[in-house]
Amino acid sequence: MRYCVCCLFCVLFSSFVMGKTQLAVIVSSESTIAKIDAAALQAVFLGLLTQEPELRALKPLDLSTGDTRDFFYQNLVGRNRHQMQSYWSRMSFTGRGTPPQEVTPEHLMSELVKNPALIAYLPIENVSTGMKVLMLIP
Amino acid sequence: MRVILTRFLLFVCAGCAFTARAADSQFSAFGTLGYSKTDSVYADYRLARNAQFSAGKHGSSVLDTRLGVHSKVTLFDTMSVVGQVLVRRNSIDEVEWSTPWAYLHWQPDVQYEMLLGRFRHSLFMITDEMDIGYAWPWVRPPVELYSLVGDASYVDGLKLRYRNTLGNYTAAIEGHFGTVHIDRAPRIVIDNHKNYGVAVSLSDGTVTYRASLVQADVSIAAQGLNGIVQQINQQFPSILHEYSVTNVSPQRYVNLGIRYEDGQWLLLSEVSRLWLRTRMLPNKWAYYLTLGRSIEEFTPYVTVANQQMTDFSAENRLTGNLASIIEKFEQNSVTEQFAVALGLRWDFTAGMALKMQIEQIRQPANSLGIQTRVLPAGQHHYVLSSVALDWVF
Repeated sequence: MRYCVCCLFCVLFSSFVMGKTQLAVIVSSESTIAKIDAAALQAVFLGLLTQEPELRALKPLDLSTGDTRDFFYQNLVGRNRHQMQSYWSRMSFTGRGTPPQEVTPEHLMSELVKNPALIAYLPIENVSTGMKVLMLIP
Repeated sequence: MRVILTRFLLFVCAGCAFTARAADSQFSAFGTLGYSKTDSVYADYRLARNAQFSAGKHGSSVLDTRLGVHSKVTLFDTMSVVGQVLVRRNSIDEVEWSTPWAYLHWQPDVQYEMLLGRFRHSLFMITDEMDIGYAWPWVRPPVELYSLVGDASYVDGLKLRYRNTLGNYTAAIEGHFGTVHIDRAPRIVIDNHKNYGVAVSLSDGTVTYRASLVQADVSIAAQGLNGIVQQINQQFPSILHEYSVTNVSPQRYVNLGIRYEDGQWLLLSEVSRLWLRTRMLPNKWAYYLTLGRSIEEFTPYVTVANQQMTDFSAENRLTGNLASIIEKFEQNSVTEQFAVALGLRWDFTAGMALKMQIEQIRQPANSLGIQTRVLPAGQHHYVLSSVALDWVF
């Protein structure tokens, strides 16, 4: 029992290391939204309410599972892919929310420029005309 | 009326699922495969005092193994039908198909929601995801608290939910009204003629605070209880009202909870108190506190949990054989126990988690705990080891 407790606390207090890159949070250039803060962005991507009514109409898009998506959530809410999946299982299996629609980067870029209600994220080098950058992560 | 309504909604769910081909349909599934064993032949661990199945020294998979299917059929932008079928062992040790969710969902905008049909009651923090093991850290929710409600985990009726912002928090208030009917005759039949509750919560995605109150007017027909009540009625009718289990009104449950999850640290805690208003069902309070730390795909955690009786006073007005029956009944009703658990959740692949948990359960000298057997004199604790594989699809 004492050995188990020692092991547990060693694991509990060990460090956590993360890689680096930069993502752009984007909407269509036709969107009337000019800025968004981190708290509001968290709310949008976690299915919670935002204070600003115009942000409540935003529909978030997720990239298919991969490093970019992991980096986005790790920096935005501090959670890894398993924690996000657990979060959405809690929300979706109980009718409290549905996760953002998953799309490929190509689909995301083509859909986002056409629909001002969408919000998504991309590596900054993939931002193209027709998109408006609201925030950089980190 | 209740049965007709439930069947109608199930029929609507099934009909929509088959006919609304143009509609947006989502199907998902979840399940848990569990195995547990105690370290003592005198300890058979179970999930609730009324559960007729347990895991003992020789191990068993009966405690946590279950399988569920969840569907949502969107009829219009604002309306959908949600259904969930669950296969698991019920309290009388039968593998049972149940429908904890079967409701029509109307959400005219992001702030207002209405659920009509069958849904979970609003009491605990994780009542809604009670069977989705993948959604929580433990092998099972701490039984010291989650066994307080017993079988009545879902309600047939109406639930309303309103959400708004309060600073950076999303504030939600929800209320429900309905009935509960659990028929496990001849062993037990439970009716909540009215079951109503309210829950308020504040959440910013990292921390959630929650408070809830559930009340119910309850009638219980159970082999053991009703026989004793009849004897009291015959011999001491003046105190019958204290022991009656018919139209007990209202039984009351209060719960406070907090969940903190920042990606590295996890804190979960709830405290509950119940007032059951009959001497046949003792009043209790319970709490648990879980602290965990996530490192990559591993989440080690430690949990302490406790269940205690309140307002208990031994009966001394009865005489003869009935007095000894009541005395034995009261002794068997003492379920106090304290548990310390160490666990590890390992998210080894997408949608699957393997959990291991070892816990020491302590029973006060006068308590039988929630388990089925009686510990030998001088032994007040035992160890339960559990593993579980949780998955969602």
